[in-house]
Amino acid sequence: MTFLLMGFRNLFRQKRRTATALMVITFGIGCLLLTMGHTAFIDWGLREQTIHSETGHLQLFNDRFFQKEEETILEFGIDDAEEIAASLQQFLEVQLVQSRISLMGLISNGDKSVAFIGDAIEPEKERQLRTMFADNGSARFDSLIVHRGEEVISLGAALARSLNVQYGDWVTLMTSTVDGALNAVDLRVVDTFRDGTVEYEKRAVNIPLPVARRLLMTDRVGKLIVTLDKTEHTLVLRDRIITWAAENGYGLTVKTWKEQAAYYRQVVQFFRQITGFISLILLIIVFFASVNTIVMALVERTREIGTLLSVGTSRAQTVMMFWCEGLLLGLIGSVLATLFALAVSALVNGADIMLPPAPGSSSGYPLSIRNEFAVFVRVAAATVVASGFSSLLPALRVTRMKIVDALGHI
Amino acid sequence: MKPTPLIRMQQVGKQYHLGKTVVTALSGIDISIEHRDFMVIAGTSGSGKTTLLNLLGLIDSPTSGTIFFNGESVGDDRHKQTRIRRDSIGYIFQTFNLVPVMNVYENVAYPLILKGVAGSARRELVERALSQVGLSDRRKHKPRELSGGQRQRVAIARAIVKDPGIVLADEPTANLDSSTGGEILDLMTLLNEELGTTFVFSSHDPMIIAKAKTTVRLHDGRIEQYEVAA
Ligand SMILES: Nc1ncnc2c1ncn2[C@@H]1O[C@H](COP(=O)(O)OP(=O)(O)OP(=O)(O)O)[C@@H](O)[C@H]1O
Ligand SMILES: [Mg+2]
Repeated sequence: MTFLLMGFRNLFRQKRRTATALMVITFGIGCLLLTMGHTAFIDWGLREQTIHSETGHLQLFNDRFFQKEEETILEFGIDDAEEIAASLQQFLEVQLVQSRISLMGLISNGDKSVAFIGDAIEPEKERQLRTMFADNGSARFDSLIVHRGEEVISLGAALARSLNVQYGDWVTLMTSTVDGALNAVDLRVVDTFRDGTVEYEKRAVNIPLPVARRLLMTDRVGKLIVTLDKTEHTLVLRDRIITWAAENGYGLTVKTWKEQAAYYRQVVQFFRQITGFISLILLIIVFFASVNTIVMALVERTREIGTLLSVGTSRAQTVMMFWCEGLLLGLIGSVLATLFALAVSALVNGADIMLPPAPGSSSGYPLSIRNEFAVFVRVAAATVVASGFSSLLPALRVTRMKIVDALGHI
Repeated sequence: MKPTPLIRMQQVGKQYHLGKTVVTALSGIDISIEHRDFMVIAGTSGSGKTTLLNLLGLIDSPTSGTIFFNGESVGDDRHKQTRIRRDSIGYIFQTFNLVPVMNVYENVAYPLILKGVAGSARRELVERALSQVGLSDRRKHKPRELSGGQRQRVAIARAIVKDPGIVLADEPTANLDSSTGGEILDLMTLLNEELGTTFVFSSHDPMIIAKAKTTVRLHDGRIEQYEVAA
């Protein structure tokens, strides 16, 4: 206790030097917190956006889908989609269950045929999914909803251009059915949509689920998308749904959004690496700021060390005094850094700054910082450890000092 | 039977090696410090006074000979030395050497903290030591707010507060004017007589040397004169 207090007072003996060290730590660690906060924001934003436009929280597949290649489409689809979807409502956390079928084939305007990749969907539910977090392009399904029950299709904008079709034109979809036979259906174009990547937009179509079922001649669906109230519930619900499925004899495999979100994983991985690199550099700066403070203190106070030792302070106690000084430097520094980061993030979040779009993406994203308590605690702990370690090393010199030399003999 | 001396030095020598040359700071020192003694180490500059006091205070180790503390050889166990310094030796420096970040009260309390004396016992001892050196009203002052004489009084309070067997003082008055120095010496004499604290101090001031009970005069690292007053 005494040593902590002395460490505290000693720290503020050389006000300017300590202030400089604290400024370095505050600014360095503060910037680290801001970087991490921005990464957390991107992580969170991309995560919720991916979930609430594409993946949902959980995806249910027929077990065999992952065990064997399908020989015909939907060979390993889900048979009792409606029944399962209804039963899943028993879980309070489940907000939305929807079916999708992915299909491929040829699309033709009568003169020209090109390959398509399609999603058969339930438009109302897709719209609902895309409004649960923020509006992630929910208008994309409006026309399909208006023309409920009709033989309609929505095309990727690039595909519509390439086929030279417009609203009200008819196109033909051709694909093989679940039995491997060829089948075709004529559909009226009611909308076009844009999507992030042009390559995808050149091939993409959306059709209502019933249309796809008739085209493929099946009642199956490809997968069920389950959306929960909170992303944090993902793993718990996965386990509960797995248990429930096993008990009720449904041969289902449950995948989480993370397993299905390759793009999310890449982006987050990329940002983690950058943050990791910055953390390392900043911790090294903290290390040297505090090494410098303590080394200078040791040199200046050599005589005092001699005095303390000669009145009976043990060497361990003396080392502790300097060590406390370093720990306090780190502690005060991380408190200031936290305040700095909180203040700057409040400013930045209030300013509505937009960043330019990332390569390959069509829209920019906001410069926002998401402060997470756990991150603050972890960074503060790392800072204190770094400064504690860096003060302990030079402080150990005390154990080798000769008292008379320290006192400045003669 | 004679009581065991507080500190006894037997054929103690101290040499410094500076490159190839060897400086003999002390050689063949035999000294016995009895309880309640008031001993001065006299001698010209460079005669070895500081070296001798450092050896007595266990803040330096001899190159030859043996030092007995309460009849027990000290040896070179650092932990044992630290324990003896903490519990049984008070040290007063020529340059006062107070801890600048502590106020008067805290400087005096510090040795008690090291000994683990806490609470009201510590408070009482500190107050007593402060009143013995006449500085009760300065307890909140920082060392730099005190005069040299006052600082040395604080140093004396710090040395005596734990009631050590012996207080060592290396030229305690050399940095003070002669009247202040005289006051400090009077204070030490008083403490010696009233509390029975043993003092060993060095000086080359004849006025001060005259007040000692025992005089050890050094010359070139050897004892030239060893005089015990009747
Ligand atoms: N660290 C050292 N290295 C080398 N020689 C030393 C060292 N310390 C002291 N000496 C030598 O030992 C001798 C005794 O020194 P010491 O400081 O004990 O003398 P002193 O009597 O205290 O002198 P003063 O009255 O000037 O304080 C001197 O010759 C000095 O040069
Ligand atoms: Mg000297």
